[in-house]
Amino acid sequence: MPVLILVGLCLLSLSSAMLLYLYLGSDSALAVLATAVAWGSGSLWSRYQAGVEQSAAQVTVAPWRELANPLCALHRNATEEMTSASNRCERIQHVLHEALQLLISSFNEINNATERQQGHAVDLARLLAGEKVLPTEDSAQHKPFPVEMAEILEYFISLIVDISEKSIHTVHKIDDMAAEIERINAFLADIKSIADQTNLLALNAAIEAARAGDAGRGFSVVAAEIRTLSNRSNEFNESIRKQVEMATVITRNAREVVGEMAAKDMSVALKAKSRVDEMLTEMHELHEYSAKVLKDISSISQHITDNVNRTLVSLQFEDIVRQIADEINEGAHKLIDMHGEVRDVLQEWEDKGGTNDAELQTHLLGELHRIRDGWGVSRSKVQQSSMETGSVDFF
Amino acid sequence: MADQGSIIYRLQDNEQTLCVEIHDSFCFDLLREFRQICERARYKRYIIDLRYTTYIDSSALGMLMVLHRFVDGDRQAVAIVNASDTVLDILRIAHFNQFFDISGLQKP
Repeated sequence: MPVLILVGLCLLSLSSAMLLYLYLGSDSALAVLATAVAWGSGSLWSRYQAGVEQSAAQVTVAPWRELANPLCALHRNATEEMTSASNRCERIQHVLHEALQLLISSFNEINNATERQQGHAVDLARLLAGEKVLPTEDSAQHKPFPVEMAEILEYFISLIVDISEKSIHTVHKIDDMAAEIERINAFLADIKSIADQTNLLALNAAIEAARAGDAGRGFSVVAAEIRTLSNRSNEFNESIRKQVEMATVITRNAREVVGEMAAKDMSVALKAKSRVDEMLTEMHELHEYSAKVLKDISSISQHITDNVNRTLVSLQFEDIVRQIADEINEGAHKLIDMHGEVRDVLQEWEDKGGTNDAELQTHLLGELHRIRDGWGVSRSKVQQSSMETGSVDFF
Repeated sequence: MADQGSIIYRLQDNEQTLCVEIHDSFCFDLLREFRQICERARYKRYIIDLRYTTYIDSSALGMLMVLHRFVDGDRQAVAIVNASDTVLDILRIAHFNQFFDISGLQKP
């Protein structure tokens, strides 16, 4: 029974070593495992040897079967436990593999999502800053609203100046025309005075003709005709004067209209201009702010990506765990094999009738020594490989 | 609209420079007078002094532009001086510094 407990302890150490590995890392767990295996096998061996010596000494008193039976039971239990441990090891590998696949795909998804998120944030920030416009049919001609407003305002202001300049120029021409019309009026006054003088002369001629009597009759007719012509000339002069006056009134009206065109209050344009300037300033401020935010977003995204990538590298610990688990598994199988060989030796002894024959004992002891030496070799191999894996520093 | 403006002028530098002071409103009312003063001869240099000018509208800009044409587009021939901030703002948004030598505005 104590042997059974020892084997149990040994197995317990083995399984706890595997668990310890998961928590502590390869080196310490392997040390525990190696100790457990060494302790377990060493105890088993010394117990077994003690049993053999005891049975050899008391072969006549205690039959070999009393020793063989518990040893066989012990061997069965140990084999079962080892098989179960080996299976659990494989399950650990399987569960670990699946969990890691899930983790890796999740982290990759985080990377992709972060990239997409950054893309959207960049678009949005550029849109807000007026650097970019929503994609439309004529997006190539689109400009940020404040810039477009500034251009339109510039156009209108230059238009106002242009219209004013041309209007002032036109008013100058109208003034020149008015001066010309004024000169016509002067001419008309001259013509009127000539006509009046002609009228006076005709009157004098008529008086002189009347004084001449019959001899002057013909001349009096001519004088009357001249008076008529003078009066007609005056009438004509008057109608020209009226027309010129009308033209002056029309010219004055035209001057007023063109003057209204020229005189526009600039305060509206001034206000609009200052508002547009404000908008442009706001746009630039927003632009600067969004550039800052974009830089921040980029660095955050890069940080996330770096961390995820580091995590993905760290997740390669699965390889090491698998290697360790393989080693544990190998160790378990070696234990199973060793038990098989010990059982064969016992079987051979039993087949020979469990005699106390010296030659057989030497042979059997030689077999057991061979098994122990073989175990020692395989155990040192495990230690060596554990040191190799231990040198790879992932954590 | 402010009070009706008026013009005071004098000749300087051996009658080669015409100095024109605009008082109160520089508006359409001053058109004929401004033209008579400025176009009675082709002076070497014109100084438009706006220290007493309280208001200008677009017709003043038009008159200045006509003067600019009268001096054949010579930017150095016409100087605008002592303009108030408001008047300077209007001259600025009209980009008049490309046509005139304006004290207070940079050459473009």
